[in-house]
Amino acid sequence: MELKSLTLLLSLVACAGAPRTSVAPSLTLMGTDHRAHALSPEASRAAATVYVFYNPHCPCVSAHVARLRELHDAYAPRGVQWFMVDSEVGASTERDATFESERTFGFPMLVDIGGKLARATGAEFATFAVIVDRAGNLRYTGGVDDDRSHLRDEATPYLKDALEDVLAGRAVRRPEGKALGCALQLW
Amino acid sequence: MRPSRSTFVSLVLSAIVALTSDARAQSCCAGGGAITPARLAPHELALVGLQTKSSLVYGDFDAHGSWGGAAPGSSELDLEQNLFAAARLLKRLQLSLLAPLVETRRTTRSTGADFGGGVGDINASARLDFTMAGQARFVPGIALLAGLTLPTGRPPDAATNTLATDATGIGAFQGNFGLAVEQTFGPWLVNLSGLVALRTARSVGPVNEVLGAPFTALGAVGSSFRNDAAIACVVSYTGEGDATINGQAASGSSRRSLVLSVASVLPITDTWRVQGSLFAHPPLEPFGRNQATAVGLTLGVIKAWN
Repeated sequence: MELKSLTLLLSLVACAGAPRTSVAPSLTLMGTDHRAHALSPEASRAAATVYVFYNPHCPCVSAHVARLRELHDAYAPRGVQWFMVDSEVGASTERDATFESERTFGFPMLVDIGGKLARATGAEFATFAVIVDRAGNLRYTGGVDDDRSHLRDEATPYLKDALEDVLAGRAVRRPEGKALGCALQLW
Repeated sequence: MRPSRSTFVSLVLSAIVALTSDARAQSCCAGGGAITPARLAPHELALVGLQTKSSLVYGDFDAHGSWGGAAPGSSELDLEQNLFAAARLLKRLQLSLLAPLVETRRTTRSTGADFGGGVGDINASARLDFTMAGQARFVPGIALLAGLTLPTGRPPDAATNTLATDATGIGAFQGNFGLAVEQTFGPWLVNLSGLVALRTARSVGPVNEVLGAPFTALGAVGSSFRNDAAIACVVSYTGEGDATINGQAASGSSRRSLVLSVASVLPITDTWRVQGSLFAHPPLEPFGRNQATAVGLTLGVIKAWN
C-alpha cells in the first residue's frame, strides 16, 4: 500500500465516529436462551429494553456484574427487559453461553454477529448500555454509572436514573453517559 | 543479615504479582500506563503524577564499548523526581508535560563525596492515536509520537561542583518524533515503539557542538489482571551518533544504551493508581558505549480524571 493511501486510511479511521441512530435498528439476534430476539418494538411488550455490551475479559464488566444483577432484579418486575450483548469478533452462541454461565447475570446474552447493534448504537466500550423504550426509540446510551472497576456507593447511576425517567414517561435527564470500560473488538 | 540485591528484586516482583491476582482481564486500560506512566487511558481526560527514580551506577562502558565495574572507592547515586501531567485535547490526541528535578551524588576516593542537582530538562510531548489497540483483530493501535525537550537543566560544561553533580541537562533543544504500534491479545498487550530525535547546536566558548542524533527502539509485553493492574517487561535500546565539534565528527563520542525493565501499575481506585518499575542496564558489551550502567527503581502515584 502506498504511503499516501495508508495515511488517508489512518486519517479516516482516526476521524470516524461510530454511527448512531435515534431508533433501535431492526435486528433479530440469537440469545443464549436459544431464542431469536427481534429488537423491533412490535416484537416486545416490554416497557423498556436494556442492552449492555459485553467483553469477556474486561475487569470493568466483572466489577459491574453484581450491580447489573441488582438493577435487573429491581426493574424486571416493572416491565424492563434486559440483555447482555456480545458484539465482538468471534461472538457465538456457544461462547456466550459459557460466559453467561460463568457470570450468572440472570438474563440472556445476545450474539451480535458483525457488531451491527454496537455500530448502530455507537457502542465502543464494554459496559456501554442502551435503553430502548416501548416505541423503539433510543432513550439512553452510555455507561452503567460513572464507576469503572472500583465501585463506589456514591456513583452516579446513569442507567438507573434514565430507566426511572423512561418508566415515568418523562425526558431522560442525562441521555448520554460516559462508558469507562474496555474497547470492544468490533472488526 | 542484609538481604542481597537479587533477593530484594525477587521480593518486589513477588509482591507485584501477588497484588495483581490472576491474569484473566483484558489489557484495557492499565496496560499502556505500565509502559508509559504519563499516558492517558482511553476514557481519561487528564492526569497528574509524581514519579521518583533512583539508580545506582555499578559500572560503565567506555568509548570502545568495553564494560568495567565501578572503580574502588567510587560510587554514583542518581535521583530524579518527575512531576508530570497529561490532558486530552481531542478524542485521540493527548499532550503531556514532564518537569524533572535531578540530583546526583558521586564519590571518588580522591575527592570524597559530592552532591548536587536542580531542575532538569522539561519535556512536552504529544500522542495522536490513529487506531486504538484492541478495537480490531488485525489492525493494531497506531500512534504518532512527538516531543520537544527544552534545555532548562544545567549542562555538564556549566556545572560548578567538583564532580559535576549539579549537571542536570544536555544544554540543547531536542525534538522527538516516533511511531508506536500496539495490540491486545486477550489480557496481553504488545507494544513496539520507535523514536528519533534531533538536537540543536550549542556553543560553549569557542566550541560549537551538536550532540549526535539519538534513536530509541522500545519493545514491551504486558499483561493486565482482573483487578485492572498490569505488569510489563520492557526492553529499550538507544543509539546515538558521534557529536559534531566545530563541524567535525568527534570520533568515539557515540553512545549506546540498553535498558531492561519490569514495570507495574496498580489502580487503587478508578482515578488513583500507583506505578513502579525495576530497571537495569545490563553489562552486555555489544549494547553499550559511553554509558554508565545502573540498576534502579521508579515509584509513582497518578491521579486521573475521567
